[in-house]
Amino acid sequence: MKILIVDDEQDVEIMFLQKFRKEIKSKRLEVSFAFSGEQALAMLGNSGSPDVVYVFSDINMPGMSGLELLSAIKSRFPHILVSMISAYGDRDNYNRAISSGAKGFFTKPVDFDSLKIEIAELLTNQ
Amino acid sequence: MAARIGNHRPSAPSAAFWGACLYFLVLLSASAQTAEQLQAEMKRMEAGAGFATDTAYLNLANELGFILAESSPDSAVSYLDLQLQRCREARYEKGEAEALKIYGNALQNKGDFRGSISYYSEALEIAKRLDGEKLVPGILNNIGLVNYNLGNYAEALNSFYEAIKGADLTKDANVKAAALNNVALIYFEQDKLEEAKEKYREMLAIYQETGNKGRVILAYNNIGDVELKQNKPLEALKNLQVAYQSATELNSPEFVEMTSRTLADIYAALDSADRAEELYLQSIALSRENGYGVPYAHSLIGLAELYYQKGELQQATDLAKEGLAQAETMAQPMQMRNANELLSRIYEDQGDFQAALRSFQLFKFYNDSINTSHSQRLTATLEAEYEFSKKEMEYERASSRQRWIIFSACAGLLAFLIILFVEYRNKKNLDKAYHSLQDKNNEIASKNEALEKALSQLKAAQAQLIQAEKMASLGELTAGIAHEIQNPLNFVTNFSQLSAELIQELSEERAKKPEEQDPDLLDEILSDLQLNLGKINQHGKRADSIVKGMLEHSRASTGEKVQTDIKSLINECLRLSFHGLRARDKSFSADFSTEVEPDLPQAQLVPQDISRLLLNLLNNAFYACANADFRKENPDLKPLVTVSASCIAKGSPKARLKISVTDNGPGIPPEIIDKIFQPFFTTKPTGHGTGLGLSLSYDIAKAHGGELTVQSVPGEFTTFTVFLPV
Repeated sequence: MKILIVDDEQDVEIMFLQKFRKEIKSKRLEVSFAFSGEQALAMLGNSGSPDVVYVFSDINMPGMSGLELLSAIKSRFPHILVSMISAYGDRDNYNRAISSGAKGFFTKPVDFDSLKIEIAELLTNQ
Repeated sequence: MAARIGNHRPSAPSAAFWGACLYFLVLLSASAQTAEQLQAEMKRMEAGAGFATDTAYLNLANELGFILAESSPDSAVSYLDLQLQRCREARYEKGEAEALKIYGNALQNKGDFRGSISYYSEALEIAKRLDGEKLVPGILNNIGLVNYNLGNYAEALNSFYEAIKGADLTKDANVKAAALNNVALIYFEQDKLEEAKEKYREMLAIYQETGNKGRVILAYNNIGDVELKQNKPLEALKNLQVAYQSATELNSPEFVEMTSRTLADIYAALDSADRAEELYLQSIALSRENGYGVPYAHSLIGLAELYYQKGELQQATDLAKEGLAQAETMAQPMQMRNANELLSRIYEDQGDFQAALRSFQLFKFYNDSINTSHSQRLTATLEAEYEFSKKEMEYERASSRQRWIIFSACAGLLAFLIILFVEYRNKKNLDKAYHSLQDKNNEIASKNEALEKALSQLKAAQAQLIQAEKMASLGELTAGIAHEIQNPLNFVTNFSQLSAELIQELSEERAKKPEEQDPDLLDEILSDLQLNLGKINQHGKRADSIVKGMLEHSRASTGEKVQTDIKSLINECLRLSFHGLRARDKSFSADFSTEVEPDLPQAQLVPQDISRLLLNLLNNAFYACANADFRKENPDLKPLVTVSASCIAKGSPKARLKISVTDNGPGIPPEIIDKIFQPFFTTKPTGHGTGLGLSLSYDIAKAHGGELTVQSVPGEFTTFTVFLPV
């Protein structure tokens, strides 16, 4: 199963790789990274029928914001799940994300436990 | 016969007889004192002590001396010796000069001309030393008379000329008139009758002006005399009628006698025998009564001529003989000649040819003698005349020069007065202008004070505004700053959590039996731990620098320039600006890029100020291209802010840092582009912008010796460029 992490902070990649080291090693999980919305869309678009099932995206990014990316993904690839990870977990951001089709809304600093549960759930359901 | 004048003193005219046919008149003015009065006054003064040195007394003594010199020259001489001594003892020079002059008069009257000249000369010497030289002209006139009598006409005219000149200077009208009279006398002798008349007229004008009635009569008389000699009896008559009437009114025997005699001569020439007879009789009566010797002889002979004409020979004979006797007494050659001529005719008519011959011989003798002396005098006068006219011309020239000088001086004075007046007016105007200027100055000063006060208040307000602007922009940045701190903090948190998990994992791995342990995993975990700790450190520092930057931003600028890395300053500002906007506007979405030249030199600048400048430019740029309204209107446009930094003219002293902030927003309309740097100019809705951002940015650039410019194409882009010295 392949997930995509979108964040302009490149260190996020290190965190995910460490956190899901076992799952990645066991090939149960594949993690890709994009550092902007545009890059994420390109990665999804290039693969024709993308094997990515879940996108975790930051909201505050230069250029395309996470919410814009959410809308774009939802319109082009409705089957891909998208969840937002933001430092600003306010109601406004949350409502906009959920109404735009986001599956979940995670705040920063990332609560890896709930994130792991979410992914574990996903893996189980697979 | 013309009368002449000399021997003046201010208030007592002279009386003296002269040789030839000239009379020296007694002219007493009303105020003049008699010898008796003077003596009485002097006696009174002699009672007081020190009278002999009293100048008033000495003046009186001189007056008495004058009268004595005229009336009794012999006694006058001894009197004047004493008077001279007194004046010398009293060191009264003026009195001494006067006494010497009177001495000269006395000697002249005695016939001692040479002695007289020496006294006059002495008097002249002293008079020239005296202040104003007032006595000089009178003395010169008297010297002229002596020379005249000596037949030295040249010297005489010279003296008269000097006297006239001096009298002009001292404004002594009497002396001038007397000298004129004497000059006229010489002209008269030369038969230059018109010239003589002219001088008499000048004299007349002076006496009319000074109001000297006696002298006016004399002038008229002399003019008439000249006219009679010119054979103009009718004109002479007119003048004499005036003179005779004035003399009668003045009731002065001298003048009545003189004018009646001249008038008689005129009537005789006009063949009015009765009038002439009447007047001769009056002259004779007055002359006999007052002892006027020469006039007596003149009138007797004149009357005798009249009777001879009428054929009354006996009476004519008697009168002629009496006249001759009188003329002989007076030693008057002219009268003796006339009397003898008449008698010879009478004797001839009577048939007494012997007596006639005798008389004729006498007539011939006197006539020759008169003619000789006359022709001698004529020769002398011809020479003198040349000298005189030369001098007169010189004098005329001098006086015309003087007149010219006086005229010039007057014109100069007038011009000066005009200038003075103009200057005065100018000054007044200037004063007025000065006062109004002063008022205005005061007004300006007080306004200036008020303005300065207002200015300082404004400066205070501006400082407050700047601070407020700073705080406002800090407020705007708060969200960005929060995000910028939040992010590293998140990393610190996550990396530390991960590290804790890694240590847990590590422990679990090590709890296994050694053979079950995965050494690769252990290595991996350890290297991850190292990485995480590095990241924690890195993000901790990142947060730290952001907090420091925020503190710097909120602090008042110290104005201290420090070496600054432009690239990191730009990145910091860009992120602050972006995240700040993003945090405040959830719909905000914009991209940004930087094009920073590699190895950009560090610049010497005030980082707080430059970051404020950049933040202002960036905030504006993001706002322009990414605000909700603009994006709604242009949904296809991707908002983009590009920051580029480069160094121009690198290596040269003119090297400058060029930082451009470009947005692809709507651009700035040309009509407002000139206003954007003005304070309080804003296009944002009220309450959303202070309008100070760009104005302050502009000031910051200027304060760094740099520049802030703008370029915009509406509908395409806007670029703000800041140039800073490296």
